[in-house]
Amino acid sequence: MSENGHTTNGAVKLTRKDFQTDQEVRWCPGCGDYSILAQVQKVMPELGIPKEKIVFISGIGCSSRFPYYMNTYGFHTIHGRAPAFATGVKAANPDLQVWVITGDGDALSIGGNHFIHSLRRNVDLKIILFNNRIYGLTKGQYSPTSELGKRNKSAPMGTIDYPINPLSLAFAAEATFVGRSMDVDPKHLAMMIERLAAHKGSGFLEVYQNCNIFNDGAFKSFNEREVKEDRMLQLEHGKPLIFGKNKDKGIRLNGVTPEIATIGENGITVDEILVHNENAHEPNLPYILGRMQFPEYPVPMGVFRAIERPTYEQMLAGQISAAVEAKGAGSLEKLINSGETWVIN
Amino acid sequence: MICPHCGHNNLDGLDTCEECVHDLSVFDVPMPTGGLQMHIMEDTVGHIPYDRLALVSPSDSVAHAVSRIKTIGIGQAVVVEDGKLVGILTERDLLNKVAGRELDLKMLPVGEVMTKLPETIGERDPIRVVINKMAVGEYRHVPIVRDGRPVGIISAKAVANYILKHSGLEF
Amino acid sequence: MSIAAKLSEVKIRRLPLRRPAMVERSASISETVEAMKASRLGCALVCERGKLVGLFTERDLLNKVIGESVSYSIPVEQVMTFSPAHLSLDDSVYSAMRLMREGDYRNVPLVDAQGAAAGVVTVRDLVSYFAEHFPKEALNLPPDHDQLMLSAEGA
Repeated sequence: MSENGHTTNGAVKLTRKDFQTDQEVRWCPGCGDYSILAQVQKVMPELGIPKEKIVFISGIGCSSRFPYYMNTYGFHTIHGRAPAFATGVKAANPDLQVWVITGDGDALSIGGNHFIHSLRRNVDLKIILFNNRIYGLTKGQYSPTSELGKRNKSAPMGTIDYPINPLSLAFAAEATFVGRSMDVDPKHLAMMIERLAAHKGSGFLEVYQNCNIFNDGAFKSFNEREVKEDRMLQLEHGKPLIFGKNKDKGIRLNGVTPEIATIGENGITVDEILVHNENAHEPNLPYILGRMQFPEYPVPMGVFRAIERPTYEQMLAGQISAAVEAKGAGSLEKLINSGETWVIN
Repeated sequence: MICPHCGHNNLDGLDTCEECVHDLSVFDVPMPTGGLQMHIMEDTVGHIPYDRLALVSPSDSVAHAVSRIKTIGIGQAVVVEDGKLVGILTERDLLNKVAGRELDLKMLPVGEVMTKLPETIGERDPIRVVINKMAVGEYRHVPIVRDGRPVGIISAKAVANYILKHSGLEF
Repeated sequence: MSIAAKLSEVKIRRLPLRRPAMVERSASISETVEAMKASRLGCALVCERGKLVGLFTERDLLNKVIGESVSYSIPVEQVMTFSPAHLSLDDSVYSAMRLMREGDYRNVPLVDAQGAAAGVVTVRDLVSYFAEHFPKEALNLPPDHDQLMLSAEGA
């Protein structure tokens, strides 16, 4: 590694402080966003990428204040359009590592379409979605992921909207990396951010984040420290889907329906338990896992899918260089002045 | 959120109660409720015994710093320049940057091996801040400063003992 | 469940523990040091045919090796702590905290029923475990913890 804090090629090794800005970080006291910011700032120095090669792009919302607090390049753009900006940045400058910070309102309400298409195109973007199941910045209206029947400011008698599952949408949009983590498990979150950073292609990470003002305890029923082991399922590639305090429960398929099986009861052995495969070409099983909700099932966390495919900017660059080779570098001036032109006096 | 005055069940996040107009915004901030949670929010860093300090300067040799810490019987030295904290030299720094290498410790300045500008806390900070620095920041020693000058150092061991003391398991 | 009940009932094996370096008693100090660096933990378990026989920590490195006229090529068993205090994965978190306090230890090696080395629990694992019970109070703090938040931030 290094001596005296310098890497072997002479560049100074970055620390967490290098990624902190002088801006006062103004989220509400107790907000889950602080935890996510701390973990991103912890992971960034480990990636070994200089700060000027990293961009954070956000839309509108509490989550979208993120770029102000990261000492890298950043864009704070318009509501829902962060993936569109990010696609442009990455296509024009493929050397940059582009992160998109968005929320459940920004990405799934107004930003739904941009979200789908940026994932579909497999642009090498790292999208982190802070899911707090509410509109936080605008003070408490329900969002596309709020539970049915939840009472809040824009639904005083309870919402009548069925919520959407962001992971299901990501699978439908052909995302090549899909993961889920949460703000209260800093170590797991750091690991997920590292995996997302390493992935080449459209990467999506849903983070369950607690809004302690407008939707406190939205995930507490399963992610509180005491109950976490029994009510959440850690996904590990190549390992069986086992959970529970005593690691004795597992998930197996009954046709296409997952069911919880207790190992050792009724002759059930560990061989019947599903083994997780992140690299499966079709996301059928990860999709089923993504649909599992508490209390019927344990909530899965980790990397659901991670496959490699040629990225948008790679193919774009390929086409441009092929065209230049075949027809020579073009001239915009000549193109504009070609064909029928008139001079107007 | 239930209003503590009139018991009305308000929507989450409202600033005032719909029924009695009592101010609810003060409850938005995490409140001390009781037991250990209250202790970590209200007790300050002064409630935990500080570790002894070994002070060295960045130009002192690592050999000198090591001999000082061994004499005092601790595991880290706090590095100061004009009295102000500029770094910390810990056992981890010695493991990662000095151990196993062919280095003349008498010629190696502390400034090249220390962790520069570590996270610090003030004497009046509540204990939960120290816990945050240790759990999230992954530091085992956090220097306590007053106007930039080190006055003590808190170790993870001391924090663990504090938790044990207030856990209700002992008297 | 109160913290007291949790600490005395939760077994050490339920904590997310990291794998420490494990070396043979004949391994040199420099091999041990390299293994410790790679594991990113401050100690190495010294074993003989899988059984725990000693513990070598950063403190041993500081007190017995650095600045002493000791060669890094000698076997680590000459500078380790023999037969260190240890616990099993099924002992409680409370017992780990008590042992650390009584012995002034930061690292407690863990063994299985046969005495084979099974890992290590560190004082930081305990502080992190504790912190996870108080996400709002301890985990979710701004980088500048001194800042005054007069109100919940809005638009």
